[in-house]
Amino acid sequence: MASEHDAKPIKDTLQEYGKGVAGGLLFSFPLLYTMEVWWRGFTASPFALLLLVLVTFFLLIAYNRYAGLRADASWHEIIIDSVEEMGIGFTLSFAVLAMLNRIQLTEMSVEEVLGKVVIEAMAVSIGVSIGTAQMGIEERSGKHEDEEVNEKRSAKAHVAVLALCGSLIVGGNVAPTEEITTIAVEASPADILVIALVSIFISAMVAYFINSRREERAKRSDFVFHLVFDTCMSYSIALVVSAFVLWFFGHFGGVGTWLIFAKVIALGLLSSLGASAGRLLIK
Amino acid sequence: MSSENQQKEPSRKDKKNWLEWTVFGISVLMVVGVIGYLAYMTYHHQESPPDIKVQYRPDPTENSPNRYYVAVQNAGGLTAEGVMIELMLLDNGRTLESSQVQLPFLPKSATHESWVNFRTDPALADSVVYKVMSYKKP
Repeated sequence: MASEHDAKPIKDTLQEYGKGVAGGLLFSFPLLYTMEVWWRGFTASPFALLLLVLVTFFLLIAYNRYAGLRADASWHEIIIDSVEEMGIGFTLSFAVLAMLNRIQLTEMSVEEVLGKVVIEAMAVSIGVSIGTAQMGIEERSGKHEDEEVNEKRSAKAHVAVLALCGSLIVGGNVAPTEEITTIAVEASPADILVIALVSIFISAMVAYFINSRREERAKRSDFVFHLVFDTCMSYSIALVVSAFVLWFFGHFGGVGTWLIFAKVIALGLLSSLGASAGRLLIK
Repeated sequence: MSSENQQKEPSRKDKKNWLEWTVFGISVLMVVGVIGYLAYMTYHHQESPPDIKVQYRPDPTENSPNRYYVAVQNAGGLTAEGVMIELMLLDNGRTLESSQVQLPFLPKSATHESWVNFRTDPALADSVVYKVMSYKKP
C-alpha cells in the first residue's frame, strides 16, 4: 500500500465521494420515491435480484472503463472503483429508505429489507458512478491526455455503454409504473407503430446532430453509415434495456406476446431518448 | 499493488489513501455478502403460495369500545396481494355483524397490525371467528 504522504489527500477523496453521493441521489431519487419499486423489493425472486446486481456491476465496470473519470485506469482500478460505487449505493439506499420509513428492521423480514435496499441501490450506484465522473471534469489534465481520451472514447463500444446507461436511467424511472400497462393495454397496433416510428426518428435526429459535428473530417458515405449505425444501435439498445427492466418489474407475468411487445415499444420511446440524447449528458 | 506501482508509477493522485481502502474494504464485504446471500436464496428458493395466519383479541378504547386488534401474518413463501380478512360476531351460528380488514400487500414473513370496529357489543356474541376471504399472487 502507498505510504501516507504518497497517497491522494483525504480532502480530494472526500470531494470525490461528495460528487458521487450527489450524483447518486440526483439520478435515483425518482425511484427512491416510487411505490412500485418498494413493492418489487418483496415480490422479486432472489434470482431476479441476483441478476440485477450482476447486470449493474457489469454496467458499472463498462461505464468506468469507457466513460469514467480516468481513461488510463487499469482493469484492477476499474474493478475497485466499481465495488466502491456499489458499496456507496447500498449504504445510501439503506439510509434513504430508512429515513423515508420504507424499511423497519424489527417488523420486516430480512428478505423484504434486503430486496428494497438492493433494487434502489442499483440505481444509486449508477448515479454515483456518473456523478463522480461528470462532476470531476476539472481533474482531467493535459492536452495530450485529452486527445487520447477523445480518440478512445469515440469508439462504438464507448457509445454503446453510454447508450446502455442512458436508456437504463431514463427508461428505468418509468418502467416500474402502472402507466406502461395502461398505455400498452389501451393502444391499437397503429398507436404502437407511431410510438416506434417517433422513437426511431428521435434516435436518428440525435445521431444526425452528433455526426454532423464530425462531418468535416468524415466522407459523405461515412456520415450516412454512422447515422444509420448510431440510430440502429441506440434503438436496439433501448429495446433490450426496456425489455430487461420491464421483465424485472414483473410486467411480463401472465400477459400475451402482443402486450409484451406493446409495453416494450411504449417504454422504448423513453429509453431511446435516454440512449441517444441521455448519453450526451453522461459522457 | 506494489508491482503495479512499480510498473506504472502512478501520480500522487492515483494512489489510494486509507479512507479509500476503508471504503473499498467495507464495500467488498457488502457486495460479496449481498451476492452470496442472494445466490444462497436462489439455490434454496421454493415457490410456495402465501399462507395467511390471523391472530385477534379485544382491544377496546374509550372512543371505540367494540374494537378488535387483528395481526395478519404471511407464513407462506410468496407475497400476497389484496388480502381480505373478515371478523364475524356469531350467536348460535347466526352472524350478528361482520367487519373487514383489507391489506394491499402482505410480504412473505411480514406481520401487519390492524384494528376492526363493531357496532354490536362483542359481549352479546357467543363467539368471534375470522375468515381469510381472498388474496392473490402479485
